[in-house]
Amino acid sequence: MQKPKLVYTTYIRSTPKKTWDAITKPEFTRQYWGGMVNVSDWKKGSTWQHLAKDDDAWITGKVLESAATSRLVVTWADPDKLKDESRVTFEIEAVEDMVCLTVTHGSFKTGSKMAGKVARGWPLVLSSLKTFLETGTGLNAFCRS
Amino acid sequence: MEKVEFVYAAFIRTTPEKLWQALTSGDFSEKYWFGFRFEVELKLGGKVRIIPPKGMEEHGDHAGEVLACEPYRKLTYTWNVKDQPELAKKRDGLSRVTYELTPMGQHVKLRLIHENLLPEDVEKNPNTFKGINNGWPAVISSLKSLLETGEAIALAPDCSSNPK
Repeated sequence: MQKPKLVYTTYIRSTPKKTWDAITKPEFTRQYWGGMVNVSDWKKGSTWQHLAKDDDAWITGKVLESAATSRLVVTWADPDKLKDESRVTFEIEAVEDMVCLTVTHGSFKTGSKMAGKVARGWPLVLSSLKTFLETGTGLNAFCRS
Repeated sequence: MEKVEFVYAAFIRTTPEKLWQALTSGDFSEKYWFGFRFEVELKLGGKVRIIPPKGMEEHGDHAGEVLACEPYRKLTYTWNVKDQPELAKKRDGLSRVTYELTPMGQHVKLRLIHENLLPEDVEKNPNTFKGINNGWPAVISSLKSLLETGEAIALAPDCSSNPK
């Protein structure tokens, strides 16, 4: 059976630099990612963390590839289940006066429940990112129900 | 046989009524669907037409019919592609497109499901708008921009020729 792989593409009226910054800088992530931030120096081999408002790490991993402002590859794991590691690739491409952002989440471990969790989350986060970059505010749609 | 479907979701700052109107209005569709005009008779068995813009007539009129119509909640229609007769022969019936609208506070979740596809409908090259998997994200991204900012996104019909 083919392993699950999530691919989400969205077109955003923005620049690669602004899109890269929106993904990698806490002052931007918190405005569209339900108040959460991504923290790292984004150098290859560095650790990165996805933190809640109280600095509680929800997701952690390593930076595998980092080519500002076009490609970022990170590992992705719940800090309580570090062996259940998957991989996320962000690809940012300029298309005319927009960017095409593609997020691929794959390399899930057999039996991992992460694929199911993020399948719901990525469309919301990336919809909110697009709205944030185009209108200046993210979507306030992160109801934890 | 391998079952192929394409599922996409977008969260849009709008109301179900406005989103439904945007999805089912011919004039509005031309603005976000890169000039293609989507016309639908909103009733079971109603006619669906997707009329290409001038200069792209080779795509033909994708005439289909409405299979489910629940205003502001759900629309399902058959997708009768005319420009790929060789694929139509391989397919067991027509492919089907469903829009599901779910209000979530100040936003609406739009879920798109395109079912009964063939592996050939999915394009491996990401640098094109060919293929169901490349086409729908562009259309829905444009629809979302139009509803949220008043302006759709403009894309050339095929960016595969763009310099990288």
